[in-house]
Amino acid sequence: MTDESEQLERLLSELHDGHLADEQLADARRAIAEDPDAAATVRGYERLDGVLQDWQVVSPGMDWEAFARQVSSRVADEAEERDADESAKLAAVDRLIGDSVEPLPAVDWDVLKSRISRAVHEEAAEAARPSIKPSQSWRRVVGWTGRVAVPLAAAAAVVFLVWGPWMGGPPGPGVSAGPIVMVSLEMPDSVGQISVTFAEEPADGDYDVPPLVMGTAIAVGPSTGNNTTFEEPMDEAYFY
Amino acid sequence: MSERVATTSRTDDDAERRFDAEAVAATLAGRTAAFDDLIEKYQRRAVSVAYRLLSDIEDAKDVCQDAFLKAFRSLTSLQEPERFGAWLMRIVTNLSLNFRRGRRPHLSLTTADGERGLEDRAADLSPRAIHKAGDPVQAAETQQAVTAAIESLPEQQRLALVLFAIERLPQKEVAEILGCSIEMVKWNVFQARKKLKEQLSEHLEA
Repeated sequence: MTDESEQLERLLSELHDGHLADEQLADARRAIAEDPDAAATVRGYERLDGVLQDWQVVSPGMDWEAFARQVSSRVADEAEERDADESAKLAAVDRLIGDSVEPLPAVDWDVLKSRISRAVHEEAAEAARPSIKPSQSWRRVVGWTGRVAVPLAAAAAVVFLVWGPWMGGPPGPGVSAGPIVMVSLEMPDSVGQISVTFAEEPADGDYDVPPLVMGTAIAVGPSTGNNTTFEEPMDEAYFY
Repeated sequence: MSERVATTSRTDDDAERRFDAEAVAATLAGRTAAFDDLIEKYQRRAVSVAYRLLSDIEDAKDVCQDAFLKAFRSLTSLQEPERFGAWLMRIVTNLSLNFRRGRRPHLSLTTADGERGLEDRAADLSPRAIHKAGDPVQAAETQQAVTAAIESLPEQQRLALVLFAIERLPQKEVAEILGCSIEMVKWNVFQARKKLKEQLSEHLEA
């Protein structure tokens, strides 16, 4: 069967379905008038439709009222059971609440008030840090933790190159303590590079700890004497 | 044969839907008796469809009772109360198909029919079918052949045929019940009719 004849047969089969457009109806009627096969096809579908209408028809003697009563009764039983279930559940909840209600333990309200007040003040102080809102602060902590790890790791590598043999911990017993070096990561310059500053301090000397707003690494031990450079394009956001 | 005409106007459709929506709302509000209105309204269509899918009136009634109960239990999940009818028919068809699948093989549609004598089957036929055939036994033979032919159709074609071509539900509602497009309903109906016309050719001769 060609696509065209298949389409015509479909059209003819739907002739009585009531959804064909006027143009389709006209095409179907023209085909029936001009082509005896098309007319026979339509008759075949009409007979089929008649046979289907008679197929397994519910007996006219069916007692619909009795059936409706039966279904309705089952639905009513269902509703009653459901209501009873709901009531039982609510009663159980009431009992549970009733059984579990106990006198409130003694509370030292002054202590509780002080505790809450202290927590609130700490929170307020944290939030009042200059120009940093709590949410920004939190984002910065997260950002710093994630991203400053890169320059710190790089700084640690630099330190290792320069003071490599001593890295890994402070000198043990019998080993003289070497100088302490402070490695500070400074703000990136305008071309996006950072500079690393080494400040060697005697082991027993006094030194100032650089502010922790920069990444800081500390190495202990003698210098290897090697020079090294550390240049890496940095995002300013790595520093706060 | 006259072309199928819409039996209800848009206004009637709107009134029908409003009726359904109000009955659903009343039922949900705790007035269970309002559900009786829905049973009354849809029982014939539900039983008729189930019977055509199950070929056993008692099974069809059981399935329909279950379908109404299921609808009652799940009424809160019905998104569009005005579409209760299509929703219920979807439950009926699904339960009917599940029932068929769960039926023991020797109780399947064709085998059960085959086990009954034609005289027994003829007793179940509508007077119109007997009148058309001119002979109860011949009418029963035709019915048996139709049953076997419809049974051999793929499920979607069988459902589309029963709901649209036999039960005369609107295509849009059939699409809603079957969860497919209107075009798919039309295609399935055409395929089903074409196969039946071929298989039943000797019963369709004038």
